[in-house]
Amino acid sequence: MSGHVYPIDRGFYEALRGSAPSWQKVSRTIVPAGRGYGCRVLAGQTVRLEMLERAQIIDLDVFSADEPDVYLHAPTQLYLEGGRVTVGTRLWSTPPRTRPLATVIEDRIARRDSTGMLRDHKCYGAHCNPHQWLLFAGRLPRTCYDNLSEGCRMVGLSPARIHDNLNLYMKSALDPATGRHLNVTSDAGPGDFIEFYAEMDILLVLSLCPYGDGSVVPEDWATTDVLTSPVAVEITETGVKPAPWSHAPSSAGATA
Amino acid sequence: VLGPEGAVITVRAGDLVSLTLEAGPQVVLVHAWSTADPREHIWCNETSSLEDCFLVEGSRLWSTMPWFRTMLTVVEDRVVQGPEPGRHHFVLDGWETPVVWSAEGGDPAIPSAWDRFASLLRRHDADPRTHRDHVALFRKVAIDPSSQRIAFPLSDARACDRVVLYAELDLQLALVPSPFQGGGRPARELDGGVLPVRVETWATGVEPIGWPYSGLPYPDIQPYLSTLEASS
Repeated sequence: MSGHVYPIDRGFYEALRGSAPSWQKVSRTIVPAGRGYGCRVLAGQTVRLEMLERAQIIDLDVFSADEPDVYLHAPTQLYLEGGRVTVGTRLWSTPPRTRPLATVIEDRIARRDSTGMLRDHKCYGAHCNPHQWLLFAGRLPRTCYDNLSEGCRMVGLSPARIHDNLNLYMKSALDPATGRHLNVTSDAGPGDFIEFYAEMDILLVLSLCPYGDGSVVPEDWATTDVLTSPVAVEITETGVKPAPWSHAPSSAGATA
Repeated sequence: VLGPEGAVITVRAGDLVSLTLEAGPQVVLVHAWSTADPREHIWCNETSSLEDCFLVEGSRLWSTMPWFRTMLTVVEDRVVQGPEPGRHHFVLDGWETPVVWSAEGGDPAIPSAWDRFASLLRRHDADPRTHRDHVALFRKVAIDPSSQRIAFPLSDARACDRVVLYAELDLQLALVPSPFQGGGRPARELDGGVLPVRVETWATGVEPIGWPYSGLPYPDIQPYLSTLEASS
């Protein structure tokens, strides 16, 4: 029943990718390991998140730049797209005017192992916080909650606006039989990247998670060093305007 | 008995909230926030990470940062699991929005669950924007292992089945019956009506276990609270 209510115009995105030779780089920023970051991406631009040293879990919040009350809505995302995030996945905003904020146009992992149920990138699970690190590790690194707060401040948002995020480069699945969150080490390596096309002006807020590449389980955080890595954030102007979103809300309370 | 518009109920720490199906499968969507500070509400995604995405007896519902503590605990679940696939009481819920209802073929004149929450919260002077998601009691959800897409077949819950929650804090609970009723039917076949659910609260006289749990580390949350207050 879910996931197919708004067919995606794949031809539009194929043409977009085909126009890549004419794109113009706007900026490239190296986010230091273990830190947060925030930036604005204009409609029609792409933003690429690139692994530099090894895989690095990225917690990603997305807001409408013009209306921060409009942001990535994790439940709608799970319902419309499923738990995975990969090429063709659209990032859906909060009700009542649910619409795509951005679309994944590239997801390059050179040595992807797709034999099991688990894959890199998921749309659920939220972010680590001081409580969990103190509980599992007995110490307090800069957690994703801290980093997302930092990123929010960089784009002029209150940390109160932190919302449930994408977990990129977290190789995961929900176990259908138990509902358990299954996590293993990411498949990604240096040079791998995921790239989003902004369907409207958006604010990105991200955290380079102290969980690193996911290779050390929380129960071992206290006894094993967790390596974290920097990530490059590259914004590019495509010159291609997003297609208009024509699916207006129509239910009884949408205008309430 | 819950009407289609739902209800907000107030419970004290140590109270039980019992939800009993009176006529058959009916999904009940539950949002809760602290009476002391409405900014503290259920954090479904982190609850799912800690407790799995299907609630069972003993599952705790955790609150948002910076408090991050247990708000409610499931102390009884009478639903008998039916045939695979799927499990009950989904935590990562909150997608019954106007656009989804409409896109699934629902009558535009019928308010979606999200609309019902918004109206309900406004009537109780609560900010609808604090309702970001909720847990779905009695909802059966099947997760496709390959695609990780979700489906919601008809719930296995039957009349007289119930779920009982223990309040760990003084809370307000917003309860909305889903217009999808027990699931398994497309929105275009539904008229917005819901099956009756009896809601009862009981004072147990049993004080919750103190929080933070004895012997467990707990960070100083005052700096985080100060940041939130400064930025608001």
